[in-house]
Amino acid sequence: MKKLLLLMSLLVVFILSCGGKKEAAENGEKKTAESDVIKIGVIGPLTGEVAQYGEATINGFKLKVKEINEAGGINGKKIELVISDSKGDSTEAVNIFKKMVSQDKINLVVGEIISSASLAIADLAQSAKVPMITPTGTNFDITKSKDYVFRTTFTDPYQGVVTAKYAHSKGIKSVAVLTNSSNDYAVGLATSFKEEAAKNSITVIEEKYTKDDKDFKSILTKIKGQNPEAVFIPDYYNTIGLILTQANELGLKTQYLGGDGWDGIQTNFGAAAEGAIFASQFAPDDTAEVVQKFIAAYKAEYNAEPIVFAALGYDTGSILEAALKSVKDLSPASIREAIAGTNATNLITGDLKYDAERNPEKKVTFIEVKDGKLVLKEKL
Amino acid sequence: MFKNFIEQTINGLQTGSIYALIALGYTMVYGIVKLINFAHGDILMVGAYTVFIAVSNSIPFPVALILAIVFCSVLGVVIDWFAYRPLRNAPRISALITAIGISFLLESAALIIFGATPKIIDSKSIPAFLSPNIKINLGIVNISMLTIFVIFITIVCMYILNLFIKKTKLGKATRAVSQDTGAAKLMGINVNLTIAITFAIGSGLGALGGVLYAIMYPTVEPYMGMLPGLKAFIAAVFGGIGSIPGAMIGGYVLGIIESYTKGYISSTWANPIVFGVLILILIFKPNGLFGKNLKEKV
Repeated sequence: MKKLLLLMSLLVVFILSCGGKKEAAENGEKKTAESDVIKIGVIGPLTGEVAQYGEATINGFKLKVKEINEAGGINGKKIELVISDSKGDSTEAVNIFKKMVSQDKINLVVGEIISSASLAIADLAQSAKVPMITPTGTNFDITKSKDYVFRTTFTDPYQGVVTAKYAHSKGIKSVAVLTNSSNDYAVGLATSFKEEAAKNSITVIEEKYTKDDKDFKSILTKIKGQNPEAVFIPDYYNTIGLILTQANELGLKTQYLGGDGWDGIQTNFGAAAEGAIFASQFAPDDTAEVVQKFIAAYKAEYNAEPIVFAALGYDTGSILEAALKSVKDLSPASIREAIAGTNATNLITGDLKYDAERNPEKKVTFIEVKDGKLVLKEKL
Repeated sequence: MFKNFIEQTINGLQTGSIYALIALGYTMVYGIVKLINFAHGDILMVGAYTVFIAVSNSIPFPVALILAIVFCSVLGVVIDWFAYRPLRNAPRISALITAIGISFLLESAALIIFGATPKIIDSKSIPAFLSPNIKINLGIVNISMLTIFVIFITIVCMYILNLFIKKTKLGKATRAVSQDTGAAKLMGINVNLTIAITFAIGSGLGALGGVLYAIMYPTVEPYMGMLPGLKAFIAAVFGGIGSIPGAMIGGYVLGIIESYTKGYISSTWANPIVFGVLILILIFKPNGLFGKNLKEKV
């Protein structure tokens, strides 16, 4: 069903892309002449099942924009936001995007929040030549060979690579990788982890399971027999909770490593996950001044604790601020150029530079589960 | 190497026990009314949720367990009363389809009441005799209390059930009804009561299996009964559906095959191999390992 939706939205993209290009080109010319504001379209789910992610991201972004505008804007220009709710639906996101380009005459787009919808509008943005930046879409293909598309978050493969480097830096020589072969996220992380581990001469054994599995004792018994120094489990926290509980039952005590899908493990499985370390982008207990300032500002504005999505939304604003300061004019081409050359510092989720595929190269925060809480371990 | 083998065998016995407990429900109901009760897997989900609610309302775990068993027994009888009894003389396929309907009804109801987010039974409330973290040293391997309890309770249940069927009057009635409903009725046996008792016992054992399952794999969600239900059904067919020792042996064989496949081949192969074995059994021994070879009498 989701594939069908994606296919249909892609078809729509193809059919309408010719028209979009012309419109965008015209917009670009007009904008350079008249604009005294920078218009940014924001697309994300504010209702629907992923609404909490969309809301947090957009709140974070709005907070930064408010700060920029209060400080006098960018080069004297205020930022104006056009926010639309996509419900996390790809078709909806595509429609909103087209309306923003043709009617609202936006200069660039911030969005989408989830990977599938981001993929759908990324193609559209590329062919219409509208600069786009997704705060939170981790799928590798979103930016791949699309020079107008950027992102703020790290990609799935990137965290695998950095986690392998981290293991190497801790002197770990042998790792067992537990892969959920029916989950793209897990496979992406595991594959890049294995490649990087091989480069660092870490011995890797891999065990696979599927989404239907609930009994991991047999695999864990097997891993226990091979006695690896660490176990890397790239999955989401509910499955990891099951695995860790059974590992405890078998008495498999080792260093557990993971990716950002672990965030949330502390709620129900804090005791089982004690001492585990995972890659992430945001730690609320990070003592860095920017982080604490952001947390305080976010709490004051929205009366809620910021999650990693909010941090990524806020950082997207900072990236745009850094990029747009250096921009010559507001034509799509120069905005694109400026974002590609961003060297943003003082970000919440780590200082960032773009690589050739417009993926951020940034420090990864490693978080340790300690006494049922998440604490910042170190940044790499 | 040898230690690993023993550990894998214990893992297999533990999952096998759960399959056996659930398979008993399938087998008993089939034995008496020739109905494959596809809603049986969801009974274990209901049992797990009952314990979850009870424990979150600070009812002690052993009491919660008994509550779950009683509640599911009653639920089993109610389901039989409303869904299956009116169809007793209808074609068998109608009852089968109703069973599938009940299964979806239970799953959807749980989804509406509890939502899709998995619930977790608080590990602090689980008593020591069921704890996965307390281990006993048995020479070369350590076994958790939970494993020992699961295997032990399954064997005890099986023994009591066998006594009940063989020695008591009600058990005798059950056997009579399963042999020939019409003749049993003529002999003055209350057929409907006998069937209700079968449903109650089967569902109660299902609930017990479900609660143990929810402690072994500590998440409770609306669809948790589907896969173990299916596996237990296979175990029942495997051992010869309708036969109580068959269900037990079937459960253990299935658990051990699964555990060895995961341990020595690959976890992704466990399901294909289990289902493959099922097909082989049905080809070469259509009535299962302990199935009676019924011949039509002329």
